[in-house]
Amino acid sequence: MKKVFFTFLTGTFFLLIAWMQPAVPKATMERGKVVYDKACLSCHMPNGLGVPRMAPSLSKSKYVLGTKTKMIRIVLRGSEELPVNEDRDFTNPMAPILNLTDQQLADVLTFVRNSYGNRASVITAADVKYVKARMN
Amino acid sequence: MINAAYKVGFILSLPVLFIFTCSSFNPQKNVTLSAIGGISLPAGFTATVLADSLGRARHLVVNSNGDIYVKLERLINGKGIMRLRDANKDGIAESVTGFGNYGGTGIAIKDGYLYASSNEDVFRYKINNNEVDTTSPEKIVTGLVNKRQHASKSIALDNAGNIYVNIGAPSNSCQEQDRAIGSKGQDPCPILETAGGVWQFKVNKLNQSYAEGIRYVTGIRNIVGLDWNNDVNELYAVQHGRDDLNRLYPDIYSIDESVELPAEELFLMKKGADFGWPYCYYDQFQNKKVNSPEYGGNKIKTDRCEDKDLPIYTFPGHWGPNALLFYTGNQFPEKYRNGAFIAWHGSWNRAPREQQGYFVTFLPFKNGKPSGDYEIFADGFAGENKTPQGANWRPCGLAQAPDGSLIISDDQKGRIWKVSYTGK
Repeated sequence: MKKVFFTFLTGTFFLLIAWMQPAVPKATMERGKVVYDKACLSCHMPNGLGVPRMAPSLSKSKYVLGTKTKMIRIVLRGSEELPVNEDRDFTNPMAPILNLTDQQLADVLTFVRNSYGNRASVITAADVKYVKARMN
Repeated sequence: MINAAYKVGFILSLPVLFIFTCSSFNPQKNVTLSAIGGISLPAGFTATVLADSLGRARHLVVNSNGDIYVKLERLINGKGIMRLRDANKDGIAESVTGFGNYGGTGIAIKDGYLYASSNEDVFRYKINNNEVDTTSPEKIVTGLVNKRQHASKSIALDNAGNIYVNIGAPSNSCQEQDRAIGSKGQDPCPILETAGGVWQFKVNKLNQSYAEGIRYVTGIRNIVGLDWNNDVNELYAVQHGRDDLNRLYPDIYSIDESVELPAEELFLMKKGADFGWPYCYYDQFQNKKVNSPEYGGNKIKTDRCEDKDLPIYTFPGHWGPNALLFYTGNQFPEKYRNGAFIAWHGSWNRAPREQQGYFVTFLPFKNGKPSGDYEIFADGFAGENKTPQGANWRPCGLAQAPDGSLIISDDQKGRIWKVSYTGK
């Protein structure tokens, strides 16, 4: 009983820690949404849930919630960066997104990482620049 | 002290309890299951659910004894074709059995053979006394382009021993980098050599590929709905028009223009026709083909399109026509005879505006030409959430039963409806 209680307590503690993470600045989210609406919404949909078998959902996606590096690489290289298998047989390719500034990419990735039920760390323009420099 | 710790623990766990409580008391959204399987039909028609939860049920066909064969896009328990048998004719299949170890879309029956396609090949099976010989399929067509995008191979047969296979272009508009902002259109588009058209093959020759086939028509982006019209002995199809005019060319197209353009085009496919993809698309407001923006288009220019073949009818953009069926039965009222039913899978590329489609329309025909305007025949497939992800069902296949009933398939969950006319 005690064990159950302490597991519960620890779990609750970590939940609290998660809640205490600094919220993403409102301005970042707003800028990110503007970029999302122009560059991503068409395939990933206004609700981020994608199109079955055509474009994947961004909600709770392991790539969205994964490392910053991987997520930055996905937008810079498009769906080439992702595996194709039974669970990921989306038919529409995603083109590399090369027409956005580092800041726009950082904003939109941060927006996606903190929308549609996602909660993950902020991506900065410096992060994008760092990953870009190490590609090719 | 312990008491205090419990108190703190309790307070800390309140939010968790709250979440649990909310989720357990959140009433599950009920799918509307009316007596006719959750859809709506015109007065005088009724429907039954023949089968449910079959998986990604794509095209389907009915044998002369009433057995229904459904092609699945992905295997279920290792089977890619399902046979539904409703021996007691109550509109509900008592027996569902499977065969065929490949996923795909196309399926047809002609002159004692069942034809079915994977995304690369076409097979046929002999039918003996209403039983399909599943043990020895013949591969009649092989090695067709399959690059995932627009990979389904729809099939139709004529009365002269030919089979027509759509080979969709694995591309939106033949850009150097597909769907990338600023990427130029390839000119000429190399995709058209092996895709972007309908090819004709012989029904009784094994292992045919591009060398043995004839490119019957070209300049098509992708077709899923394809049917032979026996009234006039011609091939017809409905095209999935291009996507993303606004996302790719925001300086030329507004969101509202991009939502409506281009038209979904219904083609009468005469041998040798060129419908203009990727160089042109059809603007239903100007009633003409105009240059695609990847090929110098500015909404107005038409110099690439003057020699291109035109649609015989157009529908609003992005509805996604997944099946075409010319109705030849006697069960439905006279106006339906030789007319075209089209199953619309439902749009995604109308976001951020409301999505459309997710229904079956009827277009009356006379002598192989549309003789009036379309009307919505079966509706309500999407339910309350008309989005590709949230729709209850997405119409994908159409077939006519020997008694003149219309069979509709859905590839979101795999429901099959049998629609009948009662006059009541």
